[in-house]
Order: sequence, then structure tokens, then C-alpha cells
Amino acid sequence: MTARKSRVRPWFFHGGMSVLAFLWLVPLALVVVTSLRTFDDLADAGLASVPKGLTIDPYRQALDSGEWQSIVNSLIITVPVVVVTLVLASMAAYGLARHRIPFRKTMLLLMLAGNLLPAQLLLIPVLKLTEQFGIFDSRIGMIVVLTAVGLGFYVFVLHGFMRGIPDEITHAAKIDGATTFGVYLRIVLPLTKPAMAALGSLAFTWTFNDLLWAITLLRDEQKLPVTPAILGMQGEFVSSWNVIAAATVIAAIPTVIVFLRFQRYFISGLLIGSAK
Amino acid sequence: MSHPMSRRGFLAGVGAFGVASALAGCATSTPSPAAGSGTKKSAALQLKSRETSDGGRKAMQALLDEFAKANPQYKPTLNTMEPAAFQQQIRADLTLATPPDMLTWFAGEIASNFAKQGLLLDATSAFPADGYSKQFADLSTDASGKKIFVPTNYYWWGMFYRTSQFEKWDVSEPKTWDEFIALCKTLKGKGVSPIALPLADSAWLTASWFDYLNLRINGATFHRALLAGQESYTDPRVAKVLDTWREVLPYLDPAGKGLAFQEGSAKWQQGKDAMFLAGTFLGDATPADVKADVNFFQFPIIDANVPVAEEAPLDGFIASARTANPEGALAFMKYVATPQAQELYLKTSGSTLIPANSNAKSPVSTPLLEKGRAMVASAADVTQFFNRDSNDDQLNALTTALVRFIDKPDEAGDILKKWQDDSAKARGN
Repeated sequence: MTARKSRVRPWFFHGGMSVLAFLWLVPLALVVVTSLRTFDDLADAGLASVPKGLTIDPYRQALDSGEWQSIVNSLIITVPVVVVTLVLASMAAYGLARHRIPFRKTMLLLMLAGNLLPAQLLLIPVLKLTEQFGIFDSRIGMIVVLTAVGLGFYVFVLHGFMRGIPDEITHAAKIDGATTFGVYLRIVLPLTKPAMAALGSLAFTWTFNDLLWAITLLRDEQKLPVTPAILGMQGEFVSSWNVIAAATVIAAIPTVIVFLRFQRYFISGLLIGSAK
Repeated sequence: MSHPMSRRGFLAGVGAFGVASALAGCATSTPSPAAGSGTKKSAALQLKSRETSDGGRKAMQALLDEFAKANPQYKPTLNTMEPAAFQQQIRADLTLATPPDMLTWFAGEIASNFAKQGLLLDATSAFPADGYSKQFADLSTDASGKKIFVPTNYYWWGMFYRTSQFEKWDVSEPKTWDEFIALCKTLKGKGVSPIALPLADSAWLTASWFDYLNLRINGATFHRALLAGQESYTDPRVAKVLDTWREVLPYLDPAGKGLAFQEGSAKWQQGKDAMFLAGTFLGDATPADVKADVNFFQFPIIDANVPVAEEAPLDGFIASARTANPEGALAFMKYVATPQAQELYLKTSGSTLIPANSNAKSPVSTPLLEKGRAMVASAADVTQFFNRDSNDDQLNALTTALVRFIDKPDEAGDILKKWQDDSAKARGN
């Protein structure tokens, strides 16, 4: 009975997974194929048709229409956001997890509660605030806001993770004469590396793919990150689907690189967090 | 004692480092306009445009270049935003401390609402004394009599078809509603889907049918009163509009509901759908070799006693009341009102548009354009379009009602009641 079950199960699993994987990949494949077709071919035959021929022209058009600049903008915004977020969140999480700070539970809950508010609710107030501070329509403003918006969540996750680090290790370090900051830098941070890597790649993706804040806080075409720039390629009535598809494929490359680089941390990091 | 102090000091240091690195990351960013000195600021002029097409961008830039040549004291820049985002941003834009100085916009209720809130620059001094018809001048005027809008061009709506396809099917343009229904029947008999109406991403197209049927059956005066909330959607006259539309529903392309506008227009272009009630943008989207084949006829006459009204949406510019450079903005508005500027724009953009200034000539005159111009010129009245004549909330109420009506044409009574509710609610807030 059990022997039979174990023979059937892998087949069932693999069969099911191939179907699911196929369903996942079809839209992606469609985007890639669309990005390699000419516009006239698409307009004549429609999206769901066999391509007449393939060309890399849409990629050239996408890059010529200023996509480089917008990807650079995206990176100028994303990299500082990820770095600052991780530095601040890990410090705050360490403080909240390992020190008897008054109202630490309340603080944590407040941070979490902030995350439960829909971003749409914050758009106008934040817009007005950034205007008051003179950072409206600037990439610095985007960095400040995106950092602030994400911080609560990252602190919460890292807090849970850091509480899982055995007390004995930090105590031993303290006995050996480490300062509080020394413990953070030499003991806690290295142990938190998997979670930091996982959160870092998440933060990168979220920030890089952000559209809502970008179209709220930025106005100047020259400063727009890649997501609204792609949106801008659409016409009011008619869009060049192939160029947009090519632009999306190009825009996906940085996040894919980050994910591939960090994926081993990603899985272990999230698992450790959940097993706490 | 020294411990917490040093820790705090260190934290502050790291924080400062973080901010510094963030700042370094933005070293390439240009200083914000607010940082500019006073004299510099009054030279800068920003035009925010929603023309994302290649031709539209080039044409806007050409306008600014010509303007700067004639007025070297100003330094105009172009900023283009995708239309949906543009629409979403404009309210916030007009209330910014440093708003875009000029914006592309259209005539109608929304512009008057902005004016009511004091967001628009008084452009009366820039508005030319002659060149604009009384109708266009009225559309550019707010409730207090100020000119707040400078129209530059308009397009028209009609029933678009391809000449070669009509010849192939051996049919001709209908003039009246009965001829139109007969044409639909003939086409269906030949195995052609008569009417395209793609709704997947463009349910607003249903508004064009409602507008035209209402204009043809009840006239422009009733249409305006209805949109302004002075008449009710439960009025039997509105029910008659739906009754008339019901005759056409069997001839709509049944696949239309699942098609995006672009897919629908491709299908029409390939001759799979015969006719498409649309604006001239439909023809502009076709490949160059098809353009000469694109033709249209006037929406069929239903009641010969009703004065003929056409939809001719008027586009142009507004200026922000909070601009740092009102003289510059007004100078630009004055420039775009001239026939030369309007001809330059149309020549560069290559779109099928008619200049709003009657002294301007169409730089590229095609038979299609002349036909459209003649149709609008002979109309007794001109409307903008459902949402331009009312607002986007009212348009939402309309699409909800009409998409349901296409599905369930027998529930017209219920649908109209719900429509009236939705419309009143949208007016309430």
C-alpha cells in the first residue's frame, strides 16, 4: 500500500507541477515572442497568431526611446533605498528584539499597523509633505518615501528573525567585552545574513517595480524610473505592443539578476524566519 | 555612562552616512526648480503634455521651439506624461506650489470646474478677437466670463469604414436609420460582422452610441440638460434611446466584449468588422498604405425634425493660476491661438485634426479631412463627448448601465433606474 503510494506520488507531483509551470510560463513566453515581432505583423494578425518572422528591432526602439535613462533612474532610486532600509531596519530590529526598550511591543505593532494602511490613503498627504520639504519631483524624495514606507515591514521580519538567535551567543560576546554595537556588527549581523539577503532582494524588486509612488511624487520625464516610463510608451488609443513588450523584458533583467544572485539565501532566509 | 552615549553617537553617524550615501546616489539629479533664482524662474516655462505618440511629441516640441525663437526671453521645456497618469495627476498638478505652467487639456465641464476652484489662469488677454467661432469662444469661457482655455484643434466622430471593403461587398453609405439597419442586415447576410464595438479596455466607447442616439432622437438641448442632471435617465425619452439601440445590438460583433480597443481596430482594419463608430484617431492608427482607404459616413439621421448635432471634441491648452511666470504662459497661449502655430502642429503631428482657428488652413488636406470639416461645419450644434460634457464619474455610471444593457437588453427599465441612482449619487459627492 505504502510502496504503491510512494510510486504514484512522484508522478502525480511531477505531472501537476509541469502543468502549473506551463501555465506560469505561457504569459511570459507570449511577452517574449511579442517583443520579437514587428508591429505590422501584430496589427494584421493579432496577438494570438503565429509570428511571420522575428526581429530584434523592438528592443532597439525601446532603448532608443530613452529606456536607458529610466533604468538608470530606477537604480539610482532602488540601490540607496535597499541599503538604507537594511541598515536602519536591522538596527531597529536588533534594538527591539534584544533590548528592554520601553513600549517596544507598541512600536512594533505601530510599524505593522502602518503597513496595513493602503498606500492610496497616503498618496496626497505624502505628496503635500514632500512639497513642504522641497523634495517633491526629486529622486531624493522618492528614496526617502520608499524607505519610510517599507521600513516597518522589514523591521518586523528581522525582529522575528533576530529573536531566534540564541541569547547565549550574544551573552558570551558581551562577557568577552563586546560593546552593544560590537555585538550587532560582529555577531547579530553575520547571523542575520540570510534574512538580510532575502529581504534585500525583496526590497529591490518592490522598489524597482514601484509605479504608484513614482507617478505620484515625480513629474519630470527625465527623472522617471522605468515603470512609468514604460507606461508612457502607451498611446492614448493605440500602443506599439511589441516595443512595450521589449521594454518590459529589458526592465525585468535587473530584478532577475538580483534574484538569481540571492536565491539560495532567499529560500533559506525565509524558512528560518518562519521556523522561529 | 559613556556606553549609551557612544552608541547613540555611532548610530547618528551611521544614519548620517546612510543619508550621505543616498545623496551621493542622486548626485546626477538636477536641482529642483524651487532652488532656481528668481530671475531664472520667470524665464522657465514648462508645458505638460499628454501627447505620447511620436508625432504628438514632435509637434509639441516644434511649437515650443518656434515660440522660443519668437520670444527668446523664455526657456520652455516639454514634459510628456501618459494620458491616464496625466488625468490622475492634473488635480494635484494644478495645486502644486510650482505647477507646470501650461498643460494640454480639453474644453468642457472639467475645465470649468477647475476654473471654479480658481486653479486656471485668466487667459482673456491671450484670446484672439477673431478667428474663433462663437461656439468655440463659449466653450473656452468659464461661468464668470473669463477665458480659461485656448482651443487649438478638434476632431470628429463618425461611422468609419474602408472604401475598398464597401465596394467589395457592393454596399453604399446609408443616410437614415432605416437604411443603416438595412445595411447591417445585408452585411450580416454576406457573413460579415457589421459593427465593431470592442469593450474590454474601452467600455467608454458605449458613450459614443448613447451620445449620438440621444442627439439624433432628442436633440442637443435635451442631451445637455440630461447630462447636467436637469433631466432624469428614467425619462421615457431616454428609454426610447435604448429601444432604438436595441435594434442594432444583434449586429454588434459578438466577440467585441473580449477585445481591447487595439484588437478591435485591427479587426475593423482587416475588414472582419465593417463599421466602427469612432473618432478620427481610429484612422490615424492604421498603417500608411491603408490610410487613403479609410472613409466614414455621418451617424444616420433618425428623426428629420431634430436639428443635426455632431460630436467634435475640442483640444487645447490651459495655464495654471499658480504659475511663477504668468506673462510667459500667456504669451504661449497667445502663440498657440495663431493660425501659424495650429498649422505647424498639425503638419508635424500628422494626425487627422481640424484647426480650431478658422483662419488656419489644414496643412495636409485629404478628402477625409474635408468631408469631416464639412460635416461639422454644417451641423446645427456641436457637443464634446459624454465625459467632456459631464465628468468621469458620470461616464462610469453610463458604462455600467450600457454594458449591462448590451448583455440584457430586456432589462432596460431596471437599468435606467439604477443609472439614474448612480448618476445622482455621483453628483452628490
